[in-house]
Amino acid sequence: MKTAKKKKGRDFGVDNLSGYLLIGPWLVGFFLFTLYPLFSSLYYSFTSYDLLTSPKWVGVQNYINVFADARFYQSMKVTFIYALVHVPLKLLFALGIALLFNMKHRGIGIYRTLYYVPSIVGGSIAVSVMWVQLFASKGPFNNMLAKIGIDITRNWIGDPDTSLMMIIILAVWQFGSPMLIFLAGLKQIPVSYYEAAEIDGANVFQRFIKITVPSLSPVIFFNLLMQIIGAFMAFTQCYIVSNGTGGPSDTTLFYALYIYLQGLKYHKMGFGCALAWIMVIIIALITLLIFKTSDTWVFYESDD
Amino acid sequence: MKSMKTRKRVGAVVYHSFVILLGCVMLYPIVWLILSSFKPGDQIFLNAANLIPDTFVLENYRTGWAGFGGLTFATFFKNSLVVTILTVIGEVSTSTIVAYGFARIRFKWRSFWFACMVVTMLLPTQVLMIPQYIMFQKFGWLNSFLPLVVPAFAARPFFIFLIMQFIKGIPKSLDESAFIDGSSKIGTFFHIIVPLCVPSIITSAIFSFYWKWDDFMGPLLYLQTPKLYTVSLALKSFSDPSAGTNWGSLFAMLVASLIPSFVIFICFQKYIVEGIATTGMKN
Amino acid sequence: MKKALALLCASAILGAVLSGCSSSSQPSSNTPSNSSANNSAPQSSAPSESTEPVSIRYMWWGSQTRHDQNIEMLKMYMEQNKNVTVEYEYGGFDTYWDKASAMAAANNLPDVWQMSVAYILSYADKGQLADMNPYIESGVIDCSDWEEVFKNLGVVDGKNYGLTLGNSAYCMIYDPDVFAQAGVTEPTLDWTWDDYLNTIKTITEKTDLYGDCQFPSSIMEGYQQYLRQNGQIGVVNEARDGLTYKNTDLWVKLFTMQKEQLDTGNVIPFDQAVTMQAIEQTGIATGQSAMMGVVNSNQAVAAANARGKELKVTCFPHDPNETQPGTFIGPTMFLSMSESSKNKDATAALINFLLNDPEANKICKMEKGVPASAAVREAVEPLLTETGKAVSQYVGEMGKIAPPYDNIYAVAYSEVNDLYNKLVQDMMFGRISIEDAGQQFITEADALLKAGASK
Repeated sequence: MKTAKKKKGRDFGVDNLSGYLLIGPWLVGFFLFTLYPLFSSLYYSFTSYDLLTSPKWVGVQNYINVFADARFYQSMKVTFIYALVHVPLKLLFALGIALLFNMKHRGIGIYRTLYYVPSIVGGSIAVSVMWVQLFASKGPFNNMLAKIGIDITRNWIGDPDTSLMMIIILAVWQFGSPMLIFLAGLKQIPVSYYEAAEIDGANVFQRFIKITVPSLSPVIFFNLLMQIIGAFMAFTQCYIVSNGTGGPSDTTLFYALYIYLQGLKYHKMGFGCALAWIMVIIIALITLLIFKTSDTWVFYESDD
Repeated sequence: MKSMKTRKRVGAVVYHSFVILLGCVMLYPIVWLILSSFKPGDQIFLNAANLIPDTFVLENYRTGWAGFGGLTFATFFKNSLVVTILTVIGEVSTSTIVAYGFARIRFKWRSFWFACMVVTMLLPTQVLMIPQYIMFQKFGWLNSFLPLVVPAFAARPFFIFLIMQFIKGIPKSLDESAFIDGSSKIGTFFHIIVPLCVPSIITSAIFSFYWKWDDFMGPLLYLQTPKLYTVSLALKSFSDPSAGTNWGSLFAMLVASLIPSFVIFICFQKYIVEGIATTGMKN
Repeated sequence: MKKALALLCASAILGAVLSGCSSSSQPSSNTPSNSSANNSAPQSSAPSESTEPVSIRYMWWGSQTRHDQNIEMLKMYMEQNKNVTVEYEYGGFDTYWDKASAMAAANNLPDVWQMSVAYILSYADKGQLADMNPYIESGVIDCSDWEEVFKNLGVVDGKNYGLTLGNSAYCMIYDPDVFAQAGVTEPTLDWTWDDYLNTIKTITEKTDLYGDCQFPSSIMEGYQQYLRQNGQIGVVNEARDGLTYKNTDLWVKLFTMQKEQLDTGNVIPFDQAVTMQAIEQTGIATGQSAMMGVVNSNQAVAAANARGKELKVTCFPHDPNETQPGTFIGPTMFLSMSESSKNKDATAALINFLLNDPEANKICKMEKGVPASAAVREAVEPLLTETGKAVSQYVGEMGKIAPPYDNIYAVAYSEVNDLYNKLVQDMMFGRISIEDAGQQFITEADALLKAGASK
């Protein structure tokens, strides 16, 4: 074997063969399954396509129409509010719970499992029924408020002032996936780090800031990025809770839902694809920004 | 010494009370969902405000399990298990390999391909499903599990990226020392990287299982014969706003459909926590 | 690259294994071409006499009840026609149209499929549906005992793209016990708006229920009926390329009335009403209200099942000066045949069985609406529940007084409908004035209809 050459390639130079072999499975799939739909959707965005007859080229007309469309701005607004409120809330909650479940206590396995259950109920219409029931005017939530002296008959999901908030809560409630990733990240931090800090006399808070946060930063970075992408593509929750309408009064008209309505329900796939590609550009810019800043706050062991 | 012990005790009591209280709030909706599935079908809405059913019935499970036209949920569960297990194997194994490539090997155009991979995560399925459907039809794969399972063996960007982040958390000195010991790249991968990444691999497996189990868009589009339907698709076949929905069956089968994901989580969550990682990195 | 090749091979092997698993259930979507040889002209001879094996794909949406019933009907058909295999696929309503869009885009639509009034024009306009008139004329689809108007419900430009699976009329559901409790007389088929408003007011005052859970104008079909009783043909004009009525007077009058009823509390508060999406969640089904303002008569049976008691139905309130009643009869849903079908004759025979066979229809008992065939109605009527009988009788009565159904649906129907619902919500939550909303509806809906028609 050419061990010496390999070794050199690993440490100082490039190793194209190994690199391409290893990413091969993804690369093959990319060319086989992803590229065609990707370019099709880009092409459709420059056509008038009703799904029932062949697409007709219209140039940038769809993009012009998008920027003249009031519902486009409404769905942007809803999605940005959702991303700005939901992402930090969910990440903080997930991290907090993960820290809680990273301690050594009895029965922690059971807790972990039970807290994860909300995240596996999925997008059934029964979940929508459950959520509507919970926040109905005479539902358990208002009953609880009544017990502490606040008398409200508002239907939280039907009222346009609070409907978006209810979807945010539903999404935060399903915090299981970032929590699990945090937990896995916490487990990767060597115990020796904490032991050393304890000997130095650092308290819990100092240890969290000095050890946990930097060591966890690759995972925080991952979760942040994925949650932001997920927030812009959020679909299931608003689809089931608003019965696919984005109502009341378009207050839960998420961007992905609007793409769905235009592309599939109204048979305007060209317009829908234009919407989608505008979103791709926006998220790509945000993603790029996060990647650029990550140099300053994400620390990898392998960089040492 | 005594005060230390009491402090620890108090800490434990505070901890458990807090976790249990929060857990009750979090699980209330789930409990409502489960208990509703034991209410008689017409009581689910009439009696929605009551958490505990007046009468416990198993009828919903019987009618729900019966499925449609003689095809029971046993078939749908079997199909879902086949599709999901193959997907988990495919996605997790290939994603780990690809993640190793992206994280540890330097090769030409690496950043470009990585950027491509990220971009594929940004397109909503709503605009991809039509061209995908046309594509799989051209492959002649419609009405089989192929469109659901084969792409899984081409790795999944989310998992590639996730496992990458964990591989990057492993000090390079570990690979190097293994390397000096004469281990090949493949050997390093299997003997150093994989064991140290167990928590992230298990996490990926749990997500992969749940996401595939829950996915109905793929099955909806690609499966035509009811014999091939998955649980997620069958669950969508209960509701019809124009002529009434069989809510009792729907609730019961929804609860039943949670069980596999739940069991998988119970079985695997301890590997995240007791990952070999901690021991391996103590060096 | 070796690795990639190996992977490709591996996936190919896996593919072979997987397709092997499912090959037993591969449909014969690529049906033998020889069976389409006799396709050129519809034949009047019953295809059941033919022994050539034929495979037909049939797709529908529905709930467990309908799936069970349809499958039983198909088993009966295949028993009688040994050479025919019907491959069926079913699902829920909300995902049905996503699947249909994909199938249409890939030219893979089933031979026969359940069709909604909201989409028939979109699919017909784009040449996806087959004209069934030749089969009606040749008698393969035997509509001889259908009322003339029912034959033409799915006719667009002289071509028949959809045959009604069952008819329904928009109606109001009420709970007679609550009426008795409040001492209010039950509505008759000639009641007026004043009667209606007094009724819900009295019920709200005398009982602890709301009078109504859905004011008639909450859905566009309510506005449609209001326009009709005020001399218009409906929301959409005859050419289906714009609105009929481009004035805000009736809009303002109707929604001012709805707002008043909301403010006085005679109908369920609007934030609650908008979350009642399934018929089983509505006020009438959960016992929170005495009536449900406007609803498809086909849903009355589901509401009664959910409520656990028999309910009654009545018509849309009349205007004392009206020239025609607002109520109209329409199909609950259609059966359509795809233009791409390779077995049109065999498919037509199956459609005939599904629509006109009395024995087969005894299985589904008007679940899809009141059948057009008199023979089927006669056979099925004795098997119905009280509410079912009331609905059937109501649709029959309305058939006598309501003017024939106009094709109110246009290509952009679902988008106009969404716009309508949004504007109603904006108005009822006080986010826009009623006048402004009316203006907005006229401008935007008209533009949508025009754009839809021009494609």
